[in-house]
Amino acid sequence: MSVVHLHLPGFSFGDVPVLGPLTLTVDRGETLALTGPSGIGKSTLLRIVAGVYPARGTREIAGRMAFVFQEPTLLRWRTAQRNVEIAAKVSPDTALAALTEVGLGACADRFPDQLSLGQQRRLALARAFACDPDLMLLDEPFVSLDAAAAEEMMGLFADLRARRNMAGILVTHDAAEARRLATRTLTLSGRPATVTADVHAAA
Amino acid sequence: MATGERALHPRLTSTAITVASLLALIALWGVAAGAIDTPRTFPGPGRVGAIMAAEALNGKLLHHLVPTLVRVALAFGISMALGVVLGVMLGTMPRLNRWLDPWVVVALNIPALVVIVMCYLWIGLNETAAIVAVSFNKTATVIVTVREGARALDRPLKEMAQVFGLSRMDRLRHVVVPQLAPYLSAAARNGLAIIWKLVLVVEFLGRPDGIGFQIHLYFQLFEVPFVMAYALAFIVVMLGIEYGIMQRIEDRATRWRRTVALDRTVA
Repeated sequence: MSVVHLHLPGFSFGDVPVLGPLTLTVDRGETLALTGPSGIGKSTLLRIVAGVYPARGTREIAGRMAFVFQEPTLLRWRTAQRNVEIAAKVSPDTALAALTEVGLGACADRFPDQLSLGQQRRLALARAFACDPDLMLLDEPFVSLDAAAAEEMMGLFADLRARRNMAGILVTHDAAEARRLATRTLTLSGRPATVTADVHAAA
Repeated sequence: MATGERALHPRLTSTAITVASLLALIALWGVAAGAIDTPRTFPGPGRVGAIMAAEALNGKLLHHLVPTLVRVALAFGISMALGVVLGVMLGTMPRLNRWLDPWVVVALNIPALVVIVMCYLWIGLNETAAIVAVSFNKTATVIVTVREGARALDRPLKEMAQVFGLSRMDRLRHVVVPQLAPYLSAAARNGLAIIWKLVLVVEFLGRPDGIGFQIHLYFQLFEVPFVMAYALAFIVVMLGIEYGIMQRIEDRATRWRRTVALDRTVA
């Protein structure tokens, strides 16, 4: 069954049309990669799915949602563990377990500014994992991680997806990343942007 | 290592410097008074201190200090509450701000003395008029400071709070207030400093008690040492509030910043 069903007649910022009419359905267990040139509206579409940008049309989300932003977007005045507790609304133990899972178990009491950028990204992932989501939205989450760390994070994401049978939407520029994680790839192009390719990965 | 030592007793060292600096100021005053040598118009710290002690012992100091402090507290509470609510509203609603910004500018530029006189004329020579006058003067500056803070609220964090479905209370506690904290503390500090000065003017012009009333009385009697004794007593109390309460609250609110700074120094 589908976790996301979005039907959009179009979307504009003020007078500037960004997205043309499009319909988007993502099923449980499916990970959709959104690709296309920079500035085409991939992040905008992701935010419409998340409900951050109010849009006309219909939007149905079944279950819990978690978001991994392009920037870590952390509460700099709360410790790593509190960041997870507050956003995911989980107990301190669950938060600590989520941090341990991404290799930040020893940094639970640190403030985000005391972490490296790579660690901050892991923290943002841990926060999303701790939500135990049915739908995970990721906006280029592995950018600026070194290759080994990116590989490790992708592995964690794949594990969680298998365990939870969750749906995911991943915005990415990286074709390899899309091949590695996505079961389906949507390409946006044109202005206003529409879906110009919808490719299911060979199973 | 010097940094390590400083990290151990940061408060102790800073307190010692503050005390030494204040003592130096009093010494300078004593030397100047001795050199000018006109004890009736410019008494030294010894004479003023003796009057303060005498007025404290006969109860008059407390009798006038308490009403003044109550007025300061009330006006501070009212102007902070109103200023924070209006400041956040104007800072987050650009359209409302476009309409009301000129009003804020007008309010900022009405001389405090005009507001005080008009309040006494319209409301009467009473406590309400005194508190309203001081609160009005201060609210506009709180609005301006808090509005800056509300404008600077981080948009991505707001989206994060929305996506993760944080409750209104959690958003306020963990997302909004920590970002506004530096602005709130700036508003509170400047607020207190301006308010207690205005309260003295309000008392000078139309109250039967308070430090400002005493200053008016001894001004008419040309008793400079008494004027200075009452003024100084109040300055001491306000310094106590500044260092004893305001700085402690600020220390707590900015703990995360300092932990990070300390960490960077050590690393």
